[in-house]
Amino acid sequence: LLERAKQGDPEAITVLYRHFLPGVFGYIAARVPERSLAEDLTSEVFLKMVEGIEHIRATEEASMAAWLFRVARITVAGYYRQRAKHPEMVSLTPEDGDGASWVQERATPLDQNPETDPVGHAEAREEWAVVVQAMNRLTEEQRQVLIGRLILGYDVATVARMMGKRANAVKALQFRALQSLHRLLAKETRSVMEQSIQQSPLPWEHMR
Amino acid sequence: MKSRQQRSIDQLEALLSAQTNQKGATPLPPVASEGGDPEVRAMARLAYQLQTAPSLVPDPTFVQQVERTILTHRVRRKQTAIVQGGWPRFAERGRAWSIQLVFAVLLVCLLVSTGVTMALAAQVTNPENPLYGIKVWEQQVQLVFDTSPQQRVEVELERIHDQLNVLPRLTDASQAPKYQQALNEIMAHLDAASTMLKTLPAGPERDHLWSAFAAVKNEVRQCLYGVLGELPWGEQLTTTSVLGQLGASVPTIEQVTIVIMTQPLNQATMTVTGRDLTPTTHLIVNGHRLASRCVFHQSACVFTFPWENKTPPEMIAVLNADGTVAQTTKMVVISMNGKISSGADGKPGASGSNGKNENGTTSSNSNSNANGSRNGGSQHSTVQNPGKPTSIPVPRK
Repeated sequence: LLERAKQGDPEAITVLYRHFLPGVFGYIAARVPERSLAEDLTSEVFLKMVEGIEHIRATEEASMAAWLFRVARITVAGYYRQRAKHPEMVSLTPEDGDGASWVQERATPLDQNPETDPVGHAEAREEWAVVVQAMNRLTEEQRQVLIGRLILGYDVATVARMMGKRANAVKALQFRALQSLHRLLAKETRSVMEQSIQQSPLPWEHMR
Repeated sequence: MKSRQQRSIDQLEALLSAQTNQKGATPLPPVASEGGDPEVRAMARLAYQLQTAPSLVPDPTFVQQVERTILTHRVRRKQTAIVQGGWPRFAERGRAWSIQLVFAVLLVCLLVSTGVTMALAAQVTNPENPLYGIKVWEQQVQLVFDTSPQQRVEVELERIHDQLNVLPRLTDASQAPKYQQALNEIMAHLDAASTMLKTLPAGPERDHLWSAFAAVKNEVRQCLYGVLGELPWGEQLTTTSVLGQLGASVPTIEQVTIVIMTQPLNQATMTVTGRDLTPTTHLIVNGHRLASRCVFHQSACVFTFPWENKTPPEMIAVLNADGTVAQTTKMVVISMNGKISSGADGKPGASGSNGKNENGTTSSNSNSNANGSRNGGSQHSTVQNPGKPTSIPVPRK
């Protein structure tokens, strides 16, 4: 399949794309807070795959996945570098007439329709931003292990081949990745809860 | 025995494997169990949440859209490649790489051409060849790193050989400056070689080099004798001088006396004293070779010839059979009948034989040695009594 794709067979390229899309999208979506941005960057990665497929030296699935994750990592890094150079300008005026804020407009639906459930959407978006923040604090290897195991559904041996590591090292990385993520999320959740408690008025304050 | 952390790692892996028991299948929720590390169970739950998080699942519309985009992009690239051919694609993809390649090729070409040029230059023996300069440079660089006198002597002798190759081609009058330069270089290299040879310690190496030096010196002499007859007068004088410096027998003029008798016959007798004059030596007066032969009298060469030309002599030269020459403008002219003609037009002669001294003897006195360097000026001497000349200074011509 890989050889056919290298020779430009559209069918083979399509199969490759569909096979690796969940993993690449999952990796990128775990790194950037917005779905629309994740989709743009994912498209970029697969266009790069089409551009460079003739020169890819990968001969098996694991090495192909490794190549794609490398491209994805560089693409995400490029996005963050670009954003650091040119901070995003956002408008404070509503863009549509029905009073939807810029937050709602930019926040692409995750699993809820913002028109029908804007509050739930905002909450989900904020929660996901916390997850992304925690994912970005992991090491690159830890992220790749999580994506390989959880999103692509690879077994430990395949992830080990993909990363050029031993199975035990992959298991250890997986453990540390989930442990760090769990602790970071617990900490962030506590922090968010504390903030919301501090910002909301106490019950007896309403009674005055 | 496994450590606590290793047990936790294994426990987590077991839970995850149970959740994702089949590749591509929907993950199962974590098994509720009482035992094990609570944190590990929490991690397994987190893993399940991530696996099922809608945020990490691409939208089907997006999947199709990107699929169309990449296929269109693929087709467009293919068409562009067909239209433009292979070269633009190559240039597009590997511009930086191709620049490096070009530099590498240029560098290789430069190295190869330099090597070839130096190899060719090393074989050049003609100093007029543009590559000869490179050869000289190579030799100089070589001498910088190899300062042994033996090596230096060999290089000097090689350069002399090179100059000898070109010398016969420089005999034309138009090449006179180049000829003089080549001659000077030969002498300079000989001097340098000789000086370095003297610094060598006695031994077979030194003897060998001295033999080589003597052979080259002999070659130089042979070459100079070979070209003498073809050279213009000035270069002939210079070459004779160089031959003298190389130890060859060359004529020199020390004194010239001309006795002119107009009565009863117009006849002149010229006595030339000097060294290495031979019976076959020819006389040249004012650039004209006379037929007269030398007769030795008291170690002087005596020439007798008809005095038909009324022009007083200004330059006297001798030419040996081997082509070596000597000249002088210093002479004593004695008129035995006390009268000398200044020429058919009656103008005063440059040597002072201007007809004013009708009762005396006029002598022109200027000298040029065998080296061709002139000294003094023309001098006239008027003698009241024939046979007793007295020199008087006259303005130099």
